[in-house]
Order: sequence, then C-alpha cells, then structure tokens
Amino acid sequence: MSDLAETLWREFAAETEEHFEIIEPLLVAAETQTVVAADIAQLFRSFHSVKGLSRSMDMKGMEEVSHHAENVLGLVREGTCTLDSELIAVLLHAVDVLKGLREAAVTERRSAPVPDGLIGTLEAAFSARSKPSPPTPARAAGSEPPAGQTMAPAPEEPPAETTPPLGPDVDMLRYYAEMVRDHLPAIARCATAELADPGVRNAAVEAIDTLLHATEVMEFLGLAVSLASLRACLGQEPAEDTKRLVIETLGRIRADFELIERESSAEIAGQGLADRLGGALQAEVNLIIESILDVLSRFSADPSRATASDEALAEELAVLSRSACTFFVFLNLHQSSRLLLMVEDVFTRVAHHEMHVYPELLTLTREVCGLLTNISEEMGRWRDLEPGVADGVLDRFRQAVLVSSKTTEGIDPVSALKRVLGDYDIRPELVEILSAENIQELVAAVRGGRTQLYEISAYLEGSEQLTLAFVNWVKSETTAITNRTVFVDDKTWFEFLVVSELEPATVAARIAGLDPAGQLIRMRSCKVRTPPEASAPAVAGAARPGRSAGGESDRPARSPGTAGKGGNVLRVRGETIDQLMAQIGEMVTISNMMHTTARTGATEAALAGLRESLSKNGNEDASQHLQAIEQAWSAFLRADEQLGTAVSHLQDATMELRVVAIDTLFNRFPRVVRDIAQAKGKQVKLETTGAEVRIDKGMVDLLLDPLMHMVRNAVDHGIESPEHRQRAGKPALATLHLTAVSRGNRVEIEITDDGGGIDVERIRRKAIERGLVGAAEAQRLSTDDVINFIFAPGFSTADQVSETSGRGVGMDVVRTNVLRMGGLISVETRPGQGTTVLLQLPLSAAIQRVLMVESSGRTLAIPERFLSEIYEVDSDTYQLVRGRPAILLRNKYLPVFRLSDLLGFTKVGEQVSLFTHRPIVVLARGRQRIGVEIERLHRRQELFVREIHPQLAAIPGVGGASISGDGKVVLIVDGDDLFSLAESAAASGVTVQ
Amino acid sequence: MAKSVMVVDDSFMMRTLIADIVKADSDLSVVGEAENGKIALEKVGKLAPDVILLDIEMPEMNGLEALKRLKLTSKAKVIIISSVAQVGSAQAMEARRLGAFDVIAKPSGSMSLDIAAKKGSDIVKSIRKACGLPA
Repeated sequence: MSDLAETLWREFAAETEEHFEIIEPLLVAAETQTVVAADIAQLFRSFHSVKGLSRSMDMKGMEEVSHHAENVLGLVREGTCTLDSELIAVLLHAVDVLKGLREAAVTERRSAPVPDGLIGTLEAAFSARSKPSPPTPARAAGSEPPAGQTMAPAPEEPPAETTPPLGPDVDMLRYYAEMVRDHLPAIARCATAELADPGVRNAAVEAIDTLLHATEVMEFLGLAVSLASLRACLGQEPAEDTKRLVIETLGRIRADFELIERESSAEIAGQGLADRLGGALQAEVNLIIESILDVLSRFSADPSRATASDEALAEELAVLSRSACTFFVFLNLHQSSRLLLMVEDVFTRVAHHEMHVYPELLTLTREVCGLLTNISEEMGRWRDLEPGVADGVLDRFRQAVLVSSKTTEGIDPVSALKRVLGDYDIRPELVEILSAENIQELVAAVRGGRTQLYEISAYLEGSEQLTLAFVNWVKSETTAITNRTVFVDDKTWFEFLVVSELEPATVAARIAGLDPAGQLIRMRSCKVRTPPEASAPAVAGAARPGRSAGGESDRPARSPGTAGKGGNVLRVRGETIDQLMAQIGEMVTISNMMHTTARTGATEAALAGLRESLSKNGNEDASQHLQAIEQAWSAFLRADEQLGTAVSHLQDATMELRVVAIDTLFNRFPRVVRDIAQAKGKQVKLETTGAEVRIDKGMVDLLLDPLMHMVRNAVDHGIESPEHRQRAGKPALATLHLTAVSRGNRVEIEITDDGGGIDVERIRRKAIERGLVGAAEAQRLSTDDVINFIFAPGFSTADQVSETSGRGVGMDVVRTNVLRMGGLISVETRPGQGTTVLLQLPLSAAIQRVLMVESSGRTLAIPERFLSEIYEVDSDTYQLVRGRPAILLRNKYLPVFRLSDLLGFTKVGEQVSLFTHRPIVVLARGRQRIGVEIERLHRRQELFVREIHPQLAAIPGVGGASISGDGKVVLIVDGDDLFSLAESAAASGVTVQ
Repeated sequence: MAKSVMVVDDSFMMRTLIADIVKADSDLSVVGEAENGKIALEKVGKLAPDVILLDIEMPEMNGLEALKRLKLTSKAKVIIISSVAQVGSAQAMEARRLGAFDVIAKPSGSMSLDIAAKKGSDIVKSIRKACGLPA
C-alpha cells in the first residue's frame, strides 16, 4: 500500500480516536452538569468530523452511525430539543459501536456491519425530538439566524425552492463596517498629512485597495467609484491641487457612507457606518485639538516680548488648525470648519510677522477648542455648531485682529519639549501624542538623571503572564511617559515611550528575559543625536519599527501564539520517536564508553610511565611526541565532559517528545465511573486534578489497565450505596478523585475515594483462610502489613465475584504492572472515610537507573528500585536455615541466593566456591527481602532499556537488555521474577552446597 | 504558472487528502493550509491564493463565517468542500448566496487512493473552472 494510504489510515485512526476522547467525557459530564452551547457545538462537530473521516476511507458503517448521531445533535444545537439523559445514553451507545467499528477499520481496514437496532434507535430519537410542524419554506430565505448555523434537519428534506435574495448580508455588513473602521484612518490621513510623503500615500493606497475590493463585493458601486478616483489621485506625484481633490473625494466618500448607512440602517441596528467613520476620526480630531491647546499654553505670556519661537509656535498652530479643519470638512460640519479656518488664518499671519500674539487671540482659540470638543458625542456622533454661535466667535476674532499690531521683542527661551526633542531621536508619531503633562514628566525625568529614552513596542494580547511581567518591569525600572496602540498585521501592539537610567544593553537583556523568543517585545533606544544628523530626518525614519513602508524587517513578527496554535503541531509517529530514543540511547552508551576510557586512569598511568622511562633515557624527540599526546589527552578529557553534558541535554529534550498530558488518560474515566456507578446503583462524582501533568506516552498505555482496575475497585467496593452513606451521615453523592502531581522526574497519581475504607479485619481473615499467614502471626501484623495482602497473587476479598471486579486477578496484577514501569504503589485507608492509592512513577519507562554487577562472568543490571542495601560478608557469617544459606540481618534471617543460580546461568557441574567474601545485594519487594550474591559490584548508572530479543525475553528473571559502557550486552534483571524464582528455588529444595 | 490553492479544514487527514488530490493536477499547487476560519483569515493576505477550499464545520470560526470575511478581504475564489453542504441544502444555498464559487462534497473513499480518480475528481474540476483553466 502506498505511503499516502498509510498516512491516511494512521491519521484516520488518530483523529477518530481523538474525537471519541472528546465526545465521551462531554456526554458523561452532560449527565450531571449543565451543558453550554460550546459543548453541544463541539459534540456536533466531532460526530460530524468522524462522519467525514469515515466517508473518506469508505467506512460506510461508521459514516452512517455518526451521520445519525450528528443529526440528533443538530436538533440540540438549534434548540429544538435538549440533551436529555435518554439521548445521552443513546449517543454513548453510538460511541461504543463506533469504537468497535473503528477497531475493525483500523486493524482490518474493512467496514464492519452496524449492529442491528442502533440506526433505528438513533432515527427514533431524532423523529421523537424534531418539531412535528412541517418546515416553512420562508424560514430558509430571509429570516434565518445571522450566522447561518442552523442545520438542515434531515438531508432527505427538500431544500427551499426560492433563491435567497442577494444583497448585503447582516454579518458581512458588520465585517465590512469593521474593515472600514480599520482602514479609514490611513485614508483619512491623506487629508491632514503631507502628501509628498510616499509612506502616507502608499499606506492610503493599500487601504483603499483593500476597501475597494470589499466595497465591490458588497456592491456599493457609488462608493467604489469614489474610492477608485481617490486611489487615482494618490497614485501619482502630488501636484498643486491634489490636496484639494483628495479632500473633495473624501467628502464624497463620506456622503457615500452616509447613503449606505441610510439604506442599510435597519440591519446594522442604528450603528451606522457614518457613525463609525465619525468614531474613527474622533480620536484624531481630539488629539489635534489637544495639541492646539498645548501649543497655546506655550506662547509667552507677554505679547510685547514675542520672539522667533512664538512665530514657530504660530506656524505649528496654523498647521494643526488646517488638519483639524480638513476633518471637519470631511465630516460635513461647516460651522465648525469656519472657526478653524479663521484660527488657521490668524496664526499664519502671526507666523509671517504680520500680527502679534495678542492674548485675546489665544483666549478665543481656546474657546474654539472648547466648542469643538463639545460637539463630538458618544458613539462617534457629531452635531455641528449653531450658525449663530460660530458667527459670534468669528466676529470677536475679527475685532481682536484689528487691535493686534506688530512689534519685535524677545520672548522666552525655547520650550522644554523642543530641547528634549533636539537631544533625542524620538519618532514624531510618538511625540504627537504627548500631552503637556507628558512633556513636563519627560523633561523632569531627563533632568533627574533618567537620561536614556526608549521606544518599546509590545504585543501583549497573547499572554496575561507576559503582560503582568512586562508592566511590572516598566513600572519598576523605567518611567513611562506615554503609550499608544498601533495595528501591525491586524494585531494590537502597544508602543511605549519610557525613560530610564539603564543602559541599552541592560534594557535589551531585561526584555530578552521577559520574551526569550524575541517575538513580542521590541525596543529602540532613542539615543542622543549627534549634531550633524540632527537635521537629517531620514535617519530617524529609517529606524522606525512602526508602519513606515520601508521598515519591514523591523516590524514585530507575527505573534507565535496564533501561529503555533495547531498550525505548527507536527504529528510524529510513536515509532519514529522510539527509534530516535534508541539512537540517543546508543549515543548515551557510546558516551559512557568514552567516559569509562577517560576516567579509568589507565591512560594517565601509561603516560606517566612513558614519561618516566623517557626521562631516564633522555630521548628529546620522543619527549616532544609524548607532550603532544598528553595535550591531546587533556583535550579529549575536556571533550568528554562536554559530550556528556550535550548528550544528557539531548536525552532530556527527546524525553520531552515522548510525554503527553495525563488528561489523555484521565479522560477515559468519566465514562467508566458512570457505567459502573449506574450498574451498581451508586452515585459517584469523578473529579480530576493535574490533568496537565505530562507523562511518557508509552506509560499511558501501561497505566490504563491498573488505573482502570483501581477505579472500578473504588466504585464497586470502596464507595457505599447512597442509603448506606446517608445512614453514615455522608452525602449520597460520593466523590472519586484522580490527582496527578509532577515531582521532579517522578509523577504521582492518587486515586482517592470517600467510601467506607478497607475492612482490615476481613483481609486478615481472608489471608489466614488462604494460608498466606498463620493465625497467630496474623494477629501480630500491623494494619499496613495486613493491607499489603491485597497485593498478594490471587487475593480477593470480594465474597461474590462480580462483573466489574473481584475476579481475583486484582491488585497483584496492578502492582506488577506498576513495578514493571519502575513505579511504587501504596495504599492508605481510613475506616469509614475512604481509601487512597498512591502510585509513584518515573517520567519515562524507557530509562532506568540500575546497579551494574557481575555474576559468573556476565555483566548484569539490577534496577535500582529493587535495591535495599548492599553487604559484604565473610563465609562464616552464613548459616543454614531450613537447608538454605542465610545471614542474620537485624535479627531476621535473610535467605541468600546466588544470582547466576537463580537465572540458570550456572553450568551443570560447575564448581564455584560459594559464599566466600562476596558482596550481597539485598533486594526488596514490598516487605519481602532476599539476598542475592554476586561476584563483583560495578557502578550505578542510567541505562536505556531496549526492546529485548524474544529468546532473551524467554529467560526467566531477565526483564530487558542494554549495552554497557564498554560495549557489552547487559541483561537487566527483573526483580519481580527474581523473587518468584527465589520462592520456587526455596520450595523445590534446591540448595546450594 | 500553477494556480495556487489554500486548503482550510480542521482535520489534518482531510487536509492531507485534499492537498494530495489537488497536487495530482500539475496546473495546481497547494500554497498553504489552515485549521479553521480564523487562521485562514490570518494567512490569506500573505498567501494570496487563487482558490480557497473551505470546510464548513470547524472550531473557532466556521466556514460560513469565514466565507463572509474572506470574500471581503481576498480576491480568491472560494469553493466550499463539506458534507454538511449537500447540494440543495440550506447551507449550500447560503454559501452560494455569500459568494462561494461552488459547493461540493468531501472526497469519499473510492477516490482517496486512486490517482486517476483524483484527476477527474469534483474538487479538481471545480478548481479548474474557478481558475478558468480548460476542463
């Protein structure tokens, strides 16, 4: 079969499973909790996806089942019916069937038949819930809900015959209005900004192009024509009358918007496009007015001492007034624009030395600003001034102009802002928004020694954490003078102007600390300009990170948050990672080999020997060679160290690849708990915490059975019936808690129920009955000791074997599985209050810490988790206890076996002197202890456990294999097997000489 | 130059399958994929595809919602590929009304693995028509 087919089947298997894992917990949760619309939509989508996936692989049965399930959920989604418990049961059954069909599909690649009855049940569920009234054809046309999300109830149903009317869709109109709002500022800027600046024109043309397309799609043809002519105006070098043409066209565009708004006002619920337009401009207008007020405040108080700087201010004021005026013309506010024309005129004359800055002029201008601020209302609506009001103000202006006369006197020094601007390279765009207070603050900060100025842009919408950290930093180490928002690639970025004592390198480091990927925060130092550059604005322009046309490379990169969400998720086959792990394991091994070579000291000894004999013989040439070798050796040692570090980093990184969130495991339990609880007539609520804890993917499979068993146990045995619970004064609804906690390189999983606890006396009785312990001894055992009997093979306290548990293959299997993974299991019970089972697991089952030992010439590895202690004893310490060698350890006899005997490595007739000054490794499993005699102890190390050859796997006592540092095959001893082997060795009376 | 196609579907498998079908025609090339309408909108500006193949049922932003926005922001022809939008269904009509070039069903099993079938598939036919390529 082709690669593509393989890929498709693999993805089919993975995606369908994912959907089942989404569906099941949602359905189960829906039984007890209120479902929100998003959950229903998710359920619908998941069934729908399963249908599509099945269809593409020709799995007819799955397609049919998911289709019907989807249909019923369609009713729920459109609100025709609710997700009642009967429906939940039907859908859960459908999921079970789908799982079975999927199994057949994935393993045999065939479509298995759908069990009888299910389709009928689903159809019945559908028709019972669908509205009896026949569908009205009119509904499909105009009055359908906006998003068009209603599902055609059944595919058989004849579609509405009438073609829906064309014309603006409500949603589209809204999106269109959004687009207008987003793009209008760039277009409106043409009215105020210098058209000679190609950046302004290009931005406007870009915005017009985008809007023009949308306008054509919306079929607003009049507006499209106006936009096209504006675009034509801006497409060429500006001529004398371009500005006038632009403003004229803008006015037409505004009128077109108004027309559209009138035509479609009902559909956009009174929030008209012209309002949006007004709203978009409101901020800009207010800004200009604020600037005008600001400039006014900086004129020297005494008109008789006016100087050149006052003239500069007047020029500034004239420009601002002209800008504001264009907006008011654009907004069709004629009286307001008349006032601004007057202001512009007056101050142009001041700038041209024709008039004094007479205080009355300043007062009148302030009054104009006040009037204009008041005409913009909330929601972007504007109301022009009454003509009488405008006339009155204009008259007073004319009076004031008459009394103003020209003198030439010196005035105040240049403004503080101008000084700061001269010293620093701040982008004019940012400066434009500085208020008088901002400027005072800025000047004060600079004078106070915070002499470094920075522009910092940050994209903060992705992460609250980052926002918090960023804001805290800005507060603690800088003074923020101002900030504003800019739109880059549809993202809202904040631009801050801050002053600080910190040097640029330090600030860069702080930012790198906040945003290690360098994607979300950008900084630019407004370094002090050098005098020759001060008059070259191009320098400042080139460094802009903002919206200038040339600054592409400086633009903040797209937020990785959105790109990474699903977009860059790579699905990798488990085997590929396993192969990678195996290769890395190989590297670990080789690196260990190198390390062994490096650290044995043999080379050093040889070199020292060589040096000594050379010094005796005095061979100059050879000495030099030796020196070269010694240097190379130390280089090797250094490289060895580095390699070790690199390899272990690599290992860690690869381990990360294998881990998944534990909720993939936890998600399976709501269904199980629900089913058992229902079957047993119990009321159980399952709670999970720590679902985000990550564990080895391989362990998910290994853990499923043990956890499943314990959860069943808890519901079946641990939790009492609702009546029993109420009699005991507990709530009828029991709680079962699954908790995962990450602790360094280990993970703890806890299963806690608030049931009746384990009946210790009953276990004691059973243990005696089964001959696991003598009656007398049993009475002496502590509670913990007794509870440990539940882990004994074949031990079950259930008096009756039930379907869900108590089949006697219980906790011993659980424990074996957990131990096999390198984990530990313990039980804690509180009579009448519940039971907790704690699993402590390694992060990965693939890497184990072992003790390397030697026995009958073989290197063997004993997993560290079985190790209790290590002894070295003399032969006369041994005693024979029931015909078996043993040593006395803390007043208890510890049976001792030879490792090679247990593993069957001792050749028949081979004579080895036994038990003579050999190391003994004490192994522990639960409360059992045995001593294992070995020949030599090596070291502890981490081994990568490989897939073992079947022949090796067949050897009892061998649990895995690896390659040791010196390249030899190392067998990893299975501690559990060893205990079993020791038991049978003791039982069969095989004794050692 | 090959016409560029963008595939929008929340299933990786579907994207793989659809992209493979598109690629079977040498006049067409797949320039990008997206998992939902929102991501499609983010990507469409830069990718500037000639044709967008759009699923309807997707998380975050569904196909019809995306269609309304895509029509305004992109010049691409939009072809709806969805099993929801069966020909003549309310959703199919809605999609056509909103300016979808065509509404076709998702690929079914018989076609998934057969190159000859891919070339003659509805998907390829529809894209060719949208691009003005000979049938």
